[in-house]
Amino acid sequence: MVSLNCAQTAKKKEAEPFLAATPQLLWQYNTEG
Amino acid sequence: MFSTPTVAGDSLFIGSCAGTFYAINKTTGQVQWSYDIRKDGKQISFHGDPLVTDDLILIGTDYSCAPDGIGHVYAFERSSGKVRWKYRSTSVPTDIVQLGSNVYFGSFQDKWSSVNLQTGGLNWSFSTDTPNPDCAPIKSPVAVERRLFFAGLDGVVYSLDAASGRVMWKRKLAAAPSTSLVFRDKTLYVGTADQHIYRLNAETGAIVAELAIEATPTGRPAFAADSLYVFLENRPERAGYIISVDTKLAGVRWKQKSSPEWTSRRSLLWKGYVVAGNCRGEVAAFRASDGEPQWKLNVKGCISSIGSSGDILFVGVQEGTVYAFDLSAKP
Repeated sequence: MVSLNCAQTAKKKEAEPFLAATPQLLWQYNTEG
Repeated sequence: MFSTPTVAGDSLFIGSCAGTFYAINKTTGQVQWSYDIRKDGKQISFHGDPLVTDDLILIGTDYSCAPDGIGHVYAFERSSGKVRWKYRSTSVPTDIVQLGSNVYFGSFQDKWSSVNLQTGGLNWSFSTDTPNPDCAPIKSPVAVERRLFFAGLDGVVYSLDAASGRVMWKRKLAAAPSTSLVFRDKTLYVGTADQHIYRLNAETGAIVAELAIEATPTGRPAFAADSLYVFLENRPERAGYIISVDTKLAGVRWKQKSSPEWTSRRSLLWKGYVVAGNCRGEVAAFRASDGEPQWKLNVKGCISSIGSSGDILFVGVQEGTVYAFDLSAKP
């Protein structure tokens, strides 16, 4: 595992995902953390 | 987020690393209710998986290993988010597991506790008295057949009487456990840091079988039919594997090597696939029967948890976004 817990996770905000294959994206929700 | 996105009824439950627990409509992504745990003290994280009952959802909280941090077990009413009870602890980073009318969990301080499911009243606590200066992750326990099994920070596998907390047996293996324990057919399975997988007799702790493998097992193994699926990692090479072994531990049936290593916490069996994610945002599905790659998805972020419900796959990333994918939808 690269990151062990929340405290060790770098905070950064992300852009839209891209989809390479099926299954298809239904929705996404950003919890801000 | 680290907690596995978990479905109960129409709701998806997720805990963020920013201190909020959410109930989200699983098909639309609309928030049904949320609860900010920061109002109850210095706590911000959800590292373990929730426990779903008929009317409640239970989740543990923590502030990593901060000395002034706290944690709780929350029992929320599933439909409204109302707190039925909360039990305060130093930290609750493990899954909440249930046996009958009681629930069980561990802390970063390697203290293991049982509380009543309906009231949150403490039944007993047990500590290995092992320090955790590096804030090592705590592997979630297994509660089954009147026993609580867990791997302590002291590297020992424990079996406690679930009713009293009394130690029934403990087993020190050649190296410390590196995976969560999993249970099937009166047998415990655990991977260890010296690149082995063990089968232990759950009644006695005796070693039934062991299998040497080529890298360190991680995460939580999963069963399907007579196979056990395990993540392995080789950190110096940044290589990850998924292997399928037979449940007798006679040998490896297939393996798939990839880079970088898998970072989703558990091997997810879904629709005949083994699904795994990494820190490049890649979700990969391998056919469970023979390991053949089937499809791959991409999201933004480092994947920490993957859950499923019916045709929907939920992918959580450390940066805080949860993605829902529908297998039945047409492109």
